[in-house]
Amino acid sequence: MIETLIDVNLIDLSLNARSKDGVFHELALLLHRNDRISDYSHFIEDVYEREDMGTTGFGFGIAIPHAKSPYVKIPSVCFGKSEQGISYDSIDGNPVYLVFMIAMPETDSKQHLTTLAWISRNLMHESFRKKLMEAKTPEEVINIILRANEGE
Amino acid sequence: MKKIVGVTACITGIAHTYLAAESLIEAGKSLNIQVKIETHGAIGIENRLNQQDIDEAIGVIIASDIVVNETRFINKRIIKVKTHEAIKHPQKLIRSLMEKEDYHE
Repeated sequence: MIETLIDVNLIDLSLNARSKDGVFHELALLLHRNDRISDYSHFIEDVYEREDMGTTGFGFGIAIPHAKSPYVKIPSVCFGKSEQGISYDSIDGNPVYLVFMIAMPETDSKQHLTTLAWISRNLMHESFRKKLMEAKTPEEVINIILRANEGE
Repeated sequence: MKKIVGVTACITGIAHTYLAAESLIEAGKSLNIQVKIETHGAIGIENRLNQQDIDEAIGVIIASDIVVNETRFINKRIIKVKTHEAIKHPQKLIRSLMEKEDYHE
């Protein structure tokens, strides 16, 4: 199921953004280029609507901005990595290096939601975070996620 | 093994519900305490607590960004926090619950 949510084209291992706003735009653009969302700026507004209720930078150098939005064409997970770190207003006050941007339509299948729940759970495991931090290619990122899924 | 139960819930029900649940479960493992968490997410309610779970539990942690009905937990010691707190300080939360201390973020 994860294969339908993310592919190598939705992974950017050298994010340029240094700010939360910058990374929202960079990853939303990636979603838009891959025809996963129908309206780039409206989608970002929906991501902010969630973000304004509390930061999605949950610590450990990771953030998961997400939105249920009518501008999502295909349920997707987009992954970005920053070498220099992104200023994100995280709950632990530290910069963010890994960002999962989740784009969900307003109603979605139980399978997708189960997959997303499972990714979140894995992110609380240090070994999973470490592997993602060390990944050098988009293919590697996909393999790390797939392998963790099989281990479940 | 000593046991506690909990409920996690967040606004969209996509991420923080599960981050908080897993955080508490992992902290339980390292403290040698059995932790069962009911998740209220976009999928619906999963891993539902039954009466036996609640009866056996020393206390309840509610880590939620929305309102959770607590009537099931009447007469139980409860600590209530936001999901962020359970993600950030799961061991501290569990210890406070076990030691019957007031919890301060």
